[in-house]
Amino acid sequence: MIFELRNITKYYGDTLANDDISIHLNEGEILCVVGENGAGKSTIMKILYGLEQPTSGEILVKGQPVRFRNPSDAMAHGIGMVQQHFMLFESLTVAENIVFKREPRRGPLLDKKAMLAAVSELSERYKLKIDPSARIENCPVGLRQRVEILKILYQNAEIIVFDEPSAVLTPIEVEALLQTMKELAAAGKSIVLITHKLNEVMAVADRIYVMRSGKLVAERKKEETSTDELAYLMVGHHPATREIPPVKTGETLLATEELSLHKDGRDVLSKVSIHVDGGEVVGIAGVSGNGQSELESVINGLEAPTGGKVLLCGRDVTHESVHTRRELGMAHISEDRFLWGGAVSGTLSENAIMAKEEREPYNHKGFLRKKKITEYAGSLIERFSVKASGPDSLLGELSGGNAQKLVAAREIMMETPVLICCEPTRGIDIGASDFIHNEILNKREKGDAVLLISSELSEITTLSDRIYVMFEGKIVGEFNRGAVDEKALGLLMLGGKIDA
Amino acid sequence: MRKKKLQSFLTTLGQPMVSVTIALLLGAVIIGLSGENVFKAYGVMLKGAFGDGYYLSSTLSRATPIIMGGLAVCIAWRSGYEAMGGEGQMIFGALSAAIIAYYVPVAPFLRTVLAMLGACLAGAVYSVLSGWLYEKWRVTFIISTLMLNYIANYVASYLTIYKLKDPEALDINASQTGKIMEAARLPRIFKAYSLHWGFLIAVLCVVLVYILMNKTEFGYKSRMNGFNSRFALYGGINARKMLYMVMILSGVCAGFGGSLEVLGSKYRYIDQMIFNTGYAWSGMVAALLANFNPIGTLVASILLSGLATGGAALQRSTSIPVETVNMIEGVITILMSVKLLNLISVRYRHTRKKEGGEKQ
Repeated sequence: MIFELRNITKYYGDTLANDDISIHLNEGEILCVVGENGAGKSTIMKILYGLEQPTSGEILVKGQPVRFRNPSDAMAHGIGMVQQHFMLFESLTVAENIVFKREPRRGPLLDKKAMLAAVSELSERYKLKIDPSARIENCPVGLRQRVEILKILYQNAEIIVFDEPSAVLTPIEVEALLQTMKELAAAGKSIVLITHKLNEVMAVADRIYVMRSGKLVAERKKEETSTDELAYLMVGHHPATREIPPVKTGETLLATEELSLHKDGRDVLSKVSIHVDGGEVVGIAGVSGNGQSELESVINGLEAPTGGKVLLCGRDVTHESVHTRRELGMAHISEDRFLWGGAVSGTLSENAIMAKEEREPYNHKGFLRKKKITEYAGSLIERFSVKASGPDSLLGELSGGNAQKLVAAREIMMETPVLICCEPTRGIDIGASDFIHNEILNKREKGDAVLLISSELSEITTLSDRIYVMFEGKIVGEFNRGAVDEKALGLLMLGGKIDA
Repeated sequence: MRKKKLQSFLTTLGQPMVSVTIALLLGAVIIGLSGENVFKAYGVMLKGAFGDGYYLSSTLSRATPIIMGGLAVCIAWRSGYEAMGGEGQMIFGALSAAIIAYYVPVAPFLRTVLAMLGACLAGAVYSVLSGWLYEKWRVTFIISTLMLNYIANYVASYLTIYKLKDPEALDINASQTGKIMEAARLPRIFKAYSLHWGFLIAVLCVVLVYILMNKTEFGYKSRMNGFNSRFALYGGINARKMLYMVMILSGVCAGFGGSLEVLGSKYRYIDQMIFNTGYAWSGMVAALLANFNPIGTLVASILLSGLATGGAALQRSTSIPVETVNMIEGVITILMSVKLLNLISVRYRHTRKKEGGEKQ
């Protein structure tokens, strides 16, 4: 037993986040901790990693009780964590980030040759492809995560904690990552994987802990359990499946014509022509960083294209502001709920009313009507079952899944003919993501057009009536529902070809 | 819910109260070291600031430009623009008011009104200048506004020394503009005391700014912009319009504050009158103490003004120099700046953290 948490209890104020949790980790084992958002798995990981102190309970490394006052203490005991949000220096290169704090030196200077060699070797050994000399600020999310993983590997941690590591990877990359984990475990490293993707759990885990509402509800060996049982244990009930009725398309509500964007000396978008009709969910599949974010910001008006047109409800809106587009009938669930989609220091009311603040009955001659706004926010909270103490709590106090629900609620309840959803369920649990998926399908049934941009392939294939595949800023494929499988899509997403 | 409100109230008030307490304790040490009785000294200060009608009136009168400078900071900072140009705007406001009220040949009442409007315009234009530098060239507010403050002060010096010198001055070296006629001044509220109507106008401004920031669409938009400018853009708020509206309003407050000081207190522009008194900076400290809440800024401005008038009383009746009081304000400023730095670094981190994932 290399590591053990004994009777850990953690309170945040009056909120009980962890209730008497005892877990242990054996050497060379892959341990999975699964649970919904708010189940307390992130808290337990923060305690494990020294970011939080338990209210009571003990931490033991190799049988010795220890105290982690901060992540450096944890690292000193060989515990490395691949963060869910990345702790990287934007202006440094990939290699520099990886070797940070343990740079190979020649005298007082950085030995660049040795650094590049070490990083390349590492990248090849674990099949994590990177460009060592690229700057982080130019790297898309997917690459940043790879760097984050390599950084931990470079530090030779004995225990490696992965917090939702596969959220932004393609199926092929996920497979490689899972393979990496197995290899690491075979090499004697111990792995903790926090995730809610049960098929990944079943692919790598030796042992699984299930958490629900701050408690440890089950411990299973992989051989003894199944995804169905785990899902049941996590949620407490069996998830309902939904039949998707065949598509009935109306007129084209959103279209782009040969959209191009030239940025930082390269074509981020080249001649992208897509269309989304009423009553249709159209998915854009692709590894993150292949132009999807830019397509998103050009369509919603945050960035101007260098060529081509954006058509909304038949009108050319290429040069219109975000405001005009929203007025004309576009809503938008942003790729990142805290970076773009909300204000963490704002109340739920303030976050809920965005883009409606000029409309009656919330605005009367320039004055905002607090009561109406609070009521409206309350109705969103109720309808989307956002777990919060009320419209006056701050967005930053909510868990990621609940914050996402609020952002999704706001945009869906705009009731616009066009909805753009970017990574609508990134990093949130099954319950919340099922809910959001359902709402997206409801919108489709109403005859609205939904554009779904997601790096989660299963999300794209389940929801979309039509799928475009993006690679290096181009549309490289278009398929109707069921006409293609995930493997083939994954291949296209990586620039491969499939035989028709 | 009530408990939570109390909690947030205490956390908002916590830092200002701790800062002021530490500063006063430090002041006590210095007073003690200079051999004076601490309690007696603070008693003298308190009396000299709020003790009777005369002192209270000079404290409130002095607070007037501080309040307006504070409001200027509230508006800009709550909207996410860390502008510190209140001083320059106030200088040009004061100078414009002094020139208009002295030279423009219209009825006295009209002179007052025109002087105020001119001051607002001057403050707004100067403030928009830093806004433009930011929008067009991405010049950081901290740098542009600080430099523009110096420019304003020395341009005003040049004008008062060489071009607009008081023609009736007995001392030919007096660098000041001509004295405004009595009928064009802001009258005193009570004949015997220096308190003038400008103070009440400033209080009215506090109420207006409070309503603007908390009850209106503009206030909402600017607040969201301050919380997360990307969120504002994403929601369809016009960032450019927001920037200029905020800069105009903030400049109007500062410039208008300058005119109140000229029309109600000094009746002319005297070289360095805003620069040396540090009104705009006290206003900034007041706004910081109040966490950019206009009502709180009013209270904090009066307290800071009391510190200055009380300090003068201290110097008159004890051996303690007035600089002690400047030190106390300095300490408050530094302690509140800790928050300021936090605020800036939090914003900085937010903008740097381009890829966020989960926040739990």
